[in-house]
Amino acid sequence: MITLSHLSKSFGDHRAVSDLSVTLKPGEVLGLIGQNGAGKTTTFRMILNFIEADKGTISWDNQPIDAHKRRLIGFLPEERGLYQKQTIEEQVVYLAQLHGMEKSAAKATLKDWMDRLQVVGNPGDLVQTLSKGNAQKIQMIMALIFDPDFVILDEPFSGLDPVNAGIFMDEIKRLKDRGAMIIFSSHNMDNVNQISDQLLMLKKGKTVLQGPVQAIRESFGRTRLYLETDEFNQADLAAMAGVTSVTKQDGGFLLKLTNEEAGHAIFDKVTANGYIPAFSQQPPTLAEIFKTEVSTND
Amino acid sequence: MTNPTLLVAKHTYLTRLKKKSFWWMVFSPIILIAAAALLGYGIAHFSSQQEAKIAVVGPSSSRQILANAADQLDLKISNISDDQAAKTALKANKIDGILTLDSNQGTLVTQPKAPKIDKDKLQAVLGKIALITRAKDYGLDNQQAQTLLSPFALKTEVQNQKSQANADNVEAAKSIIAVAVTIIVLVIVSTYASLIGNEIANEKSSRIMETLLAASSAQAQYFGKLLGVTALLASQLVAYVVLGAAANLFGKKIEVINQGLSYLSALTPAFILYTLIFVIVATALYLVLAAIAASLVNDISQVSQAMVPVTTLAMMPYIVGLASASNGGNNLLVRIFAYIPFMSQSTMPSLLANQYANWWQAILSLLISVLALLALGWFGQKLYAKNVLSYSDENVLKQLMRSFKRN
Repeated sequence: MITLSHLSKSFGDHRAVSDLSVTLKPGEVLGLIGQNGAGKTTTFRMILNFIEADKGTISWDNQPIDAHKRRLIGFLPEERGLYQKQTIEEQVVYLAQLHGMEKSAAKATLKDWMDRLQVVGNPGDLVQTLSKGNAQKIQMIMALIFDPDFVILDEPFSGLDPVNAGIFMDEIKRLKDRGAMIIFSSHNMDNVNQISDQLLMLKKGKTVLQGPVQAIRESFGRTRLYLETDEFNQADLAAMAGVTSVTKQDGGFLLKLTNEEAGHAIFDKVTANGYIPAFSQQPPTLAEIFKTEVSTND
Repeated sequence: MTNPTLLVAKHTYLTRLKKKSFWWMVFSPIILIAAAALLGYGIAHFSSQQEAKIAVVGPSSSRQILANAADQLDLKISNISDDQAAKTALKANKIDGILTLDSNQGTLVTQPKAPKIDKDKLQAVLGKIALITRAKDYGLDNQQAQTLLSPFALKTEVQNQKSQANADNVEAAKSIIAVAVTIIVLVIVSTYASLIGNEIANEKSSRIMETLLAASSAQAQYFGKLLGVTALLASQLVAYVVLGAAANLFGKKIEVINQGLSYLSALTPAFILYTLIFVIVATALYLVLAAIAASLVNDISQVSQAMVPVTTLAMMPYIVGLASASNGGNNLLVRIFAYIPFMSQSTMPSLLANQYANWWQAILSLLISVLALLALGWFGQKLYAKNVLSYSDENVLKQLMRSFKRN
């Protein structure tokens, strides 16, 4: 279990992280979201001991993370970088060895990893011949090849097309199923929604949202209503009580409501004459919550 | 192997060892020396083809002595012995000169374009001829005349507590050692400081540093790189020792190698070992400084700027070392420099070779450098850990100065 307790870090007058506390259990995925400069990378750097926290503690199974334990953390940094003039095998094996893995074991398993992540190329190829996406996959392999129990992924999906983002998400799910603890940051809320058990949103270093993803969404109320009807037009729907806006979407209408209860009266009206193809009342999406929180004044 | 520091050292060492540039660095001085020797030999050989051909007009006994000494004089003696015939031949450019010998003096007439004639050597032979002639005039027989001519043999030796070597070579070696160590250290420091600077800057600019630090630690990266690069230097020096041993075994027939070996044989193995260790320790000191400076750069293009303080510092012992080479370093400034880390490597071996310092003083100087290396190495790891993940647009020198002040 990873526990961050009341972590704070300042750079001069700038408060990068303020009183951050979170616990991560085996098999859990924590999505860390926030605008650029919110304190996500600073949090990762404190966990990895690149920088020292001003206040607070970081522990793994109630023990401080010492140099030995730190080597067992898989890390994909936001800034991607590889030795351009080395072969894939040379640098993956070197990094695996630094993480305490046997050279022969790393060599033996590399090809399987490359196949699973669909890397185009061979272990003997020079890194400089790889495309950006394939280089990113090699970095992901370097972070995971030694089967870490704790993984930190800083913006793992940035720059990836949806297919490759899907491959990365499958890997994260595989790690989770194996019982690893994973913290990742992302600006893609769909990905965060799909794979996170917990969510933590930072704004200027402060925690503004925290908890299971669905619970956070539900806490905002089911104020989004999608319906498909032939009997009512956009103006009719906008005129209904509790409706703040109506937009056309995918052959139907998306209504924003002032409160969850308004949905009951709308349901009665639109189904008064019987069957309608769609009526779905949902909490706001993570992307909407993110935008709302960002735009909210402190 | 699981120790991260050793893994980083091995990676640094093997990556560089596999590069052609390292082997070029190792062999280029040898190639340069060989090329210079070959050139020198070529010039000497070419010059030796240009022997002046002269006619000797004078007593046949004198002509005979000169003919016997022709090789020594780099001359060819023409068969012409008649004055008139010689003048005609000189006019026709068939000979380069005419040496006319009287009882007490000789006259040498040459063409303007005649090859150079060594007048000192010629005078020495002519003096010998005059001596023999006078000996005969005084009634001495041939044997007595030869005894009169035999030189007095002077063999000089320097008595040392542990070694006794040929004095000529010791003197030559002493004067060479001061200059050689000074130049070699500057070359090595410049080369290896730039090498470790590039190593670190490359990792910083390619943004692989965070991955490396997460897998090990700043300390492991810092000490591992220093160890790896120092091992490279040791390999280069070992390569030269092996080449020296090979030259000793197989190259004695080659005049240049033989001459070089005769100088080296004048130095004791203990002195050679001491100097090698000192060079390695001193270079390691500069490497630490280079590593700290390189940890401040943003990208590879700033490496040369970051190396300025390192190379400037290395120039100081170079200047002092060269300036003091003429007197073997026997002055106060050099004696003080001999105990200051970063400086002592260029002066102490020279003082030791010239016996201006004894072994205890030499070991004390080395020990001071080793302690300085340990202290700076430990201090440097803190700076490295702080700087290596920060990227600043500020001038590297200003950052370096501030780093030192902060700590």
